[in-house]
Amino acid sequence: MSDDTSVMSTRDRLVYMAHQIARNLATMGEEKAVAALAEHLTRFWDPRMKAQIVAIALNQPDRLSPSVAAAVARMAQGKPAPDVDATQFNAVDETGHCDAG
Amino acid sequence: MSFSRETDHGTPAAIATGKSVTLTIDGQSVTLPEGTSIMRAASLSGGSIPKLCATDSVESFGSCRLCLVEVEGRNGYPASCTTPIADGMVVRTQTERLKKLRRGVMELYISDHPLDCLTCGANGDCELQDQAGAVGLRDVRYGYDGATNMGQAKDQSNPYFDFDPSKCIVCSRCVRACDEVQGTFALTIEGMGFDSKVSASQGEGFLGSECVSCGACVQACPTASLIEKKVVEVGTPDRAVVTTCAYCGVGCTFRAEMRGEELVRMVPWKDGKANRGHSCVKGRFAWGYAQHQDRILNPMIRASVDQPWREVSWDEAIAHTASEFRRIQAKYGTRSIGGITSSRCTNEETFLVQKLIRQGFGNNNVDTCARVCHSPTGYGLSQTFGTSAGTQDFDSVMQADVILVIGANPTDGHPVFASRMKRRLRQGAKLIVMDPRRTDLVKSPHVEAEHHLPLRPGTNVAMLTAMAHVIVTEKLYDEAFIRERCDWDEFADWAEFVSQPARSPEAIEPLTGVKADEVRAAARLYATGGNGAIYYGLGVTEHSQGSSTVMAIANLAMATGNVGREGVGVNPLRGQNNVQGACDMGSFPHEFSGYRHVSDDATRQLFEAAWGVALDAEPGLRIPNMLDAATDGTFKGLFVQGEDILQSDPNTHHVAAGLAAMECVVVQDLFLNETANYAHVFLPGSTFLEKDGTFTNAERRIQRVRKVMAPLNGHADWEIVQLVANAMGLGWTYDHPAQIMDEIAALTPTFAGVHYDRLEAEGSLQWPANDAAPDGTPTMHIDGFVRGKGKFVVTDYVPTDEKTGPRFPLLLTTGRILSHYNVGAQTRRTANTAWHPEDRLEMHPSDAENRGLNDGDWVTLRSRAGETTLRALVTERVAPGVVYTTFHHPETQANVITTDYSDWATNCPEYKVTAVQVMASNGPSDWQQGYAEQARNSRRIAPLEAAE
Ligand code: SF4
Ligand code: SF4
Ligand code: SF4
Ligand code: FES
Repeated sequence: MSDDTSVMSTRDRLVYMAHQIARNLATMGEEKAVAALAEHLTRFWDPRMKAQIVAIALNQPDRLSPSVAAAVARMAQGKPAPDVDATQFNAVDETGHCDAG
Repeated sequence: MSFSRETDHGTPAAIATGKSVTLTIDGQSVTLPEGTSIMRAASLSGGSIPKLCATDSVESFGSCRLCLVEVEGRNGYPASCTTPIADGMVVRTQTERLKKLRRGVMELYISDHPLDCLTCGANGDCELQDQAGAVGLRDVRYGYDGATNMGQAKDQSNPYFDFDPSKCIVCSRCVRACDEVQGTFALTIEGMGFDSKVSASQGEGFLGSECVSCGACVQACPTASLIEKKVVEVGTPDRAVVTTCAYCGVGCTFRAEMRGEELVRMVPWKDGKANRGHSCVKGRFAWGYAQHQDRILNPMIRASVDQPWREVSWDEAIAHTASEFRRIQAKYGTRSIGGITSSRCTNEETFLVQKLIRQGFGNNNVDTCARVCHSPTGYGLSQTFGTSAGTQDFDSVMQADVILVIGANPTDGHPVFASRMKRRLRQGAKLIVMDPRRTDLVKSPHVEAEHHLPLRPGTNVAMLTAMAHVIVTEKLYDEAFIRERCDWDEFADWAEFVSQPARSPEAIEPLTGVKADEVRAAARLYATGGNGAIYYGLGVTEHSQGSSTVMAIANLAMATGNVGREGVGVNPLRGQNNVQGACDMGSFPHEFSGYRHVSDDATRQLFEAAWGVALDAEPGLRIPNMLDAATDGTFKGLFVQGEDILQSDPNTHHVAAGLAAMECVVVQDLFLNETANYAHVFLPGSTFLEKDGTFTNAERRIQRVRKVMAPLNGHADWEIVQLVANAMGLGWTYDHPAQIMDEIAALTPTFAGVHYDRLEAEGSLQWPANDAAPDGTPTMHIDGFVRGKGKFVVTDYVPTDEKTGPRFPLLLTTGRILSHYNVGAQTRRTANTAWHPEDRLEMHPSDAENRGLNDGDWVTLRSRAGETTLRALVTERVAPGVVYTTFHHPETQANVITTDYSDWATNCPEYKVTAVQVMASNGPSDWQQGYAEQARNSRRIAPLEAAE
């Protein structure tokens, strides 16, 4: 992570947050920790944050540790978000915006 | 409404022994608790004995001899204030002999008192005057010139009250109030006999003394010797309305004493169950901001933030707000807007803001400033105990034997509760303070911590785990409690984890900087010293490991069986007046009111049925995520009620960039705060004096806020939200906040029994209040945890990534002081600035010396996030390597320095740990000057054009 926190991009921050949560859950043991992280992301992250971390897992898999990657995959397989205009935030400038680093 | 003072029974209630006593007073048979004084007994049975030196806020003293009575079978005339009742006693309070004796006493007092009653500020509200009348004094045989104290200069140094020694009757009520009620010991009686006089801290004026301006002495004073300046200025009040303080989470209730439409004074309400008749300088005196000239009273809009504001009608402002939000949603999607509820507004207002967002905006993008203070409490306590709230009421501290204060500075942050805690400590309870700073509690008159653990900022989890290590390895845990109330296997896992040698006090000593012996002793004391009660504050939550620390605290309490009865428990000291309520009301993006997740179908359907719309099942954005999304271009509109995120949230540059990227920021507030510099719509808010509603304090106590005057801005805040909602087509029809509370009760199981008529009848209710607990719940988890079995959670110590190094060798931690509140928007607009005109940087003498700095020097404070300039305060309160400042003044903008690091579970910012460097400076930084310039520009209001 960058030395100057004030310029952390959203994408960097999400990667950082996911790993920070993972580190705090690590004592549970791999299997439980992956499940707990997946649940945490499901319960606390807004759909665009979820979409961004899924996109990162897809496009830049080496940015995620194996357990974070596993949790993201698990979260993505979970109950899909009901579509109440849910992903319209992308409608304007499409996905490029979210990944702007 | 007529005005009457609260009845003064002369002496405090007796300490309950369960026994009662029957006696006869003036021919009437009376039965009362053992230990009650004759004076109190007479008062409770409808009589009244003249008195001067007694008042029921302090223990009796027996000095004035005005309260003499006759007791059958006893010689002489005992003082009724110091004589306890006894079985079969026969007391006479009104006889010719007594009248004569009392008149004699009164004559002596009056002969030494100026007789300027007609021009005295207390005329009509003076006990000396009343008692002179009560004893029938007509003449003074000694003449009026024995007056040694007459003609002495007044002490007018305190901004809120005067001390006039010539009116002092040396009853020492003020001295005892300062000692017993407030616990500051600022006053003494100097000299003897006619020469004796009250003095604040060895002859200094009140302002320069130890006095913290709580007002307890003023309230106790029977004459005009100690009197509020406002009473002198406006006159004595003619009506009173009971309401709740809008500053901190203690939730003191006050009588707002009015003269017509003007507030004369706020007098702490004796029946208030949170404060029991006490107050601090903020609630008691610092309400002048309500009428401050800076208040904005007309709505304003502007197209862009570099333009001056334009005053508009309410209709135009509301219509503009609604159309902007709808325009943005049409262009960028349903989830492109959101809002922030206020922990300063009422429950009803907060509920309406989140309803506006969920029902009207159609998403869950709602958050609250609790994000930046107690969100880890919500997470940690719900994981372990099953509910997001403190376990006790404040009275519980009077049953505690060992009090563990972690990362809290109650004498500054929660002063009225601190006074109660100090009273318990003076009775002999033991104190452990875990805090990097040597706070006042560590050592103050008649209070001294048994153990102070001055740990390095950021090592709370390691420290608490080390305490757990001692408790487990030395078998000091309460096995019966754990087996009955918790999951034994989870306990075993946790015990195994904390027992590892790497978690012993010795192993973590290099990390925390605290001697292992001291940690061991503190752990033993907490585990074995009787009732152990934990009180904690933002020094726990505002860390990367905030949620882990809260869970570590809960683990300790469960392991030692310190949950589920009076005198024990886990108690978050809430910052703002209604932060508990804001959280309860569904201000978080993942929860409905009553802490129910938005993905829970049954709960969502309940709200959908009530509100007639489909609701989003996905969590919304938290404040920092909103700002990120804004810079990414996916979040474009924000409604902010009563919060100043630009000043109070971390990393000001990040907040400013996020706000600047939005197309419509609506700020509803009293003043043009810092966030308003980036706003497009300003909706003037109302003060707590101008509206009805409820606040919920740190004890989960729901108390009424009552309107004492009409809103200067024209609308109460809940009405403004309703206007916006209706402009967005929601069709709300609330006429009074009582109806909003009825809706909350209908939709929230823990509030099912909360209605305004109940609150009127009971004074207050502590949730849960429902069929299962019709009278509310002072102590939680009595027969079992809310979640069923208490859950031990393994809390690994994961150090923060904010690291000191050669460039940033010092650790900055932040906090608050007594006289100011949060971002200071209110208190800076009162005379409280007399105590804290600027934020200062506390640093240890050795760190100052290394840098060639002296007390009072301008210094630059620099972190990885930014830099600012302020003046140094060289003090040993902070350990070497640690610096500390407050964030009450926008000029300093301490949050330019703080970083984006945050609690792993909740994103609560890590205010308490920032790596910094400090160096000499010549004055405000370029950034500060630039900011001041921009703020000035952004606050311009275009002169009103001729009527349209
Ligand atoms: S105002 Fe409070 S602290 Fe000050 S002297 Fe009076 S009782 Fe003591
Ligand atoms: S200042 Fe008031 S309370 Fe204090 S000793 Fe004098 S008369 Fe009594
Ligand atoms: S600020 Fe807090 S302690 Fe002070 S009067 Fe108000 S509620 Fe009470
Ligand atoms: S009131 Fe009892 S001695 Fe003064």
